[in-house]
Amino acid sequence: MQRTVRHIGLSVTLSQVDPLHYAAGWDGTLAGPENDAKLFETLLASAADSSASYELWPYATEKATRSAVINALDFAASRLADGSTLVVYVAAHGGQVPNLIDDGDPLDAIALYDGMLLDIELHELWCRFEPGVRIVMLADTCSSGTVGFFGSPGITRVARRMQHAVSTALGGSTSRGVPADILRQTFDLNRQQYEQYQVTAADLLATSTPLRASVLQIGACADGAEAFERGGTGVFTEALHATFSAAFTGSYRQLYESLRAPCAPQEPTYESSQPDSDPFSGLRAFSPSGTPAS
Amino acid sequence: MMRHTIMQAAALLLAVSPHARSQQVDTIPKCVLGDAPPGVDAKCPDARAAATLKYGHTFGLFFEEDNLQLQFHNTHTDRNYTLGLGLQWSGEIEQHGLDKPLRWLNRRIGLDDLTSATAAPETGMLSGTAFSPRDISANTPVVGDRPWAFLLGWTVRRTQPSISDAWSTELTLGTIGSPLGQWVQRSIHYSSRHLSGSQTPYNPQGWPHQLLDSPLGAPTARYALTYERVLIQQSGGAAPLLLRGVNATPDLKHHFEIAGNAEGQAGYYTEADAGGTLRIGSFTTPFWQFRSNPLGVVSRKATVGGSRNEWFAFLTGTGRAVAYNALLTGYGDNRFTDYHMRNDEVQHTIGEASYGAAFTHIRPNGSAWMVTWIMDAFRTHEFNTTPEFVRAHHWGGFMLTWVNP
Repeated sequence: MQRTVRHIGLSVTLSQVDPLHYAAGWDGTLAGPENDAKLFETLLASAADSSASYELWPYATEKATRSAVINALDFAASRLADGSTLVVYVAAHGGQVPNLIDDGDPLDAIALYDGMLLDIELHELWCRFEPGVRIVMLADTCSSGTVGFFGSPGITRVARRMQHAVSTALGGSTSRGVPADILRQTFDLNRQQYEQYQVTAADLLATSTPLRASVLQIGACADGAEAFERGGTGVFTEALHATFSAAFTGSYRQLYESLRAPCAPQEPTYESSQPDSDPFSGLRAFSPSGTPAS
Repeated sequence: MMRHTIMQAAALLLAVSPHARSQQVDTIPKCVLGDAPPGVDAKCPDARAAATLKYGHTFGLFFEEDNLQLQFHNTHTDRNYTLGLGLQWSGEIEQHGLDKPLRWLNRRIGLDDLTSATAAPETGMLSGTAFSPRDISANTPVVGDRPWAFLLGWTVRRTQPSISDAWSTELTLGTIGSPLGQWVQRSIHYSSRHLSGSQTPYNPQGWPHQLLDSPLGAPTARYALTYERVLIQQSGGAAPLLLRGVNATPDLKHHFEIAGNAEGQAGYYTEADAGGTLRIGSFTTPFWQFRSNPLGVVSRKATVGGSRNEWFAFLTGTGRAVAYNALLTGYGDNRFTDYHMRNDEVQHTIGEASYGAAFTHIRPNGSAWMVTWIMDAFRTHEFNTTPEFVRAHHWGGFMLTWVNP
């Protein structure tokens, strides 16, 4: 199949997960993702510019399985040519699982319907994209600081505890984190499976081409920290929706800066695959054709 | 700032308006779907998607009366704040356009940044509030005592909460002086006498002399801006979970919470208030979802904050600096009112306190019943006429709320 310039919004939103996979019958019910998906849809619609608009690929709850999301990203990688934009939006539970490859920092994970998708797997998927493809990942999940980047240093344990203390002290809303005991039990119950995921991704990374696409991740909070939902939507997504509109002509960096105050005390993160020469710094946020920011 | 917020609002409207989108056809290419992975229903994004956001519903009924409080101090009365009745609901206010006046006012004031977010919880309430003098059997105005008054109002409240604080705006549109208060109070008293065979409660005689007495009542309005913030909160389970290095605590139970609030309001009540609320118990609902005074504010949002039952006791305190109270002075014109107080007879600094308990039963399907009992609410004297009439007063209340997620 020939690659073409296309602009795609991949929406992965989970109001529940499959209790058959997660431990103790945990179904991870969230009130916000269904509404978040609609806010993301309006964002994509208003982001269309004079020469391009987005297609939307929605994966909600039961359809947001590991294989479906991985296949969608692989499919996109096989179709998108230089100049394309892929916006990946995730509203779900998140967490961290042990790193079985080198006992390093724990791996960030997104709780998909039938299993967790790991940051190392996402990183390997990004490597399948052509140079010149712009990938923007928006993660409204817990532990979303660098979920798109395997090996990125997370915040320190002390900082993580401080942020957790702030979050719990100011609580009153629903966390988008997999409870620690559920996370641990789920991982232990499916240890071989998750070990296989990690080993396979690591092997693929070792043999594949290095990352050539430009990847930007704006996360709802730092690695190991909590993201919340309140009032029927994610705090991060609500702020994103309120900040971004057709009138917003600033850059991704300006958008990120604008999100910090309404998300507080959640601390959104901004991670570029090329931090030294950030290819997103001069682009208007979500402009499919790469219009310069003003 | 105001220009910026208005431009943002206009841009949002532009983005979601079908008319505006038809105008954009010339400049924005039509979305063309390419091939998509198997199993996904690829589509072109719709700018109106946010307009169909789904929220739960609440329906609430409350009743306040100055005979409902705990009788620790022989405060059984039937005067001052005589009656409060209200129907409260949430979840479909915006869809039915019942919040348009508040939205319009917020935009005019430049507060749309605070309240225009799509997910801002919104509740509405239809309420009636009746006030009477001490002697309800008198058929002439009781000069020096508070005048008869009845307020009927439709209130909409929009809240923009964050994790630690919340801004709310509230608008009440209604009437003062309609005959509804007379009908309700006389009916309740008649029923009470009929059931008990007693001579009391007396048939209230003074309603023809109520403030702004007229067949439909005189129009009135009130606008309020409130800021609330959690000051102290203790959460069960936080410490041991932290020791385990956990990074998530959904359905976090709180056991102790102090929240502060500041409010300014203009209209039939024109005043500035500051206060706090203490909650002790086991609860997950956030600070901004609980209000002990349903007549003063619209309470309860469409969702509950957890999956387990909750209970708590509460204590509130508020200081009020009152500039104007139309429920005492009317509109200051004797042509429309037999008797009203002068503004210099109004007490301009008032204290209020209340305590009570609340219980929420959350069912497996996520629906819930909430019961709140205001065991005693206390307010210092509201006017300074003669010592014979100057008095503080107490009342109590019940609020029953059903939540359908």
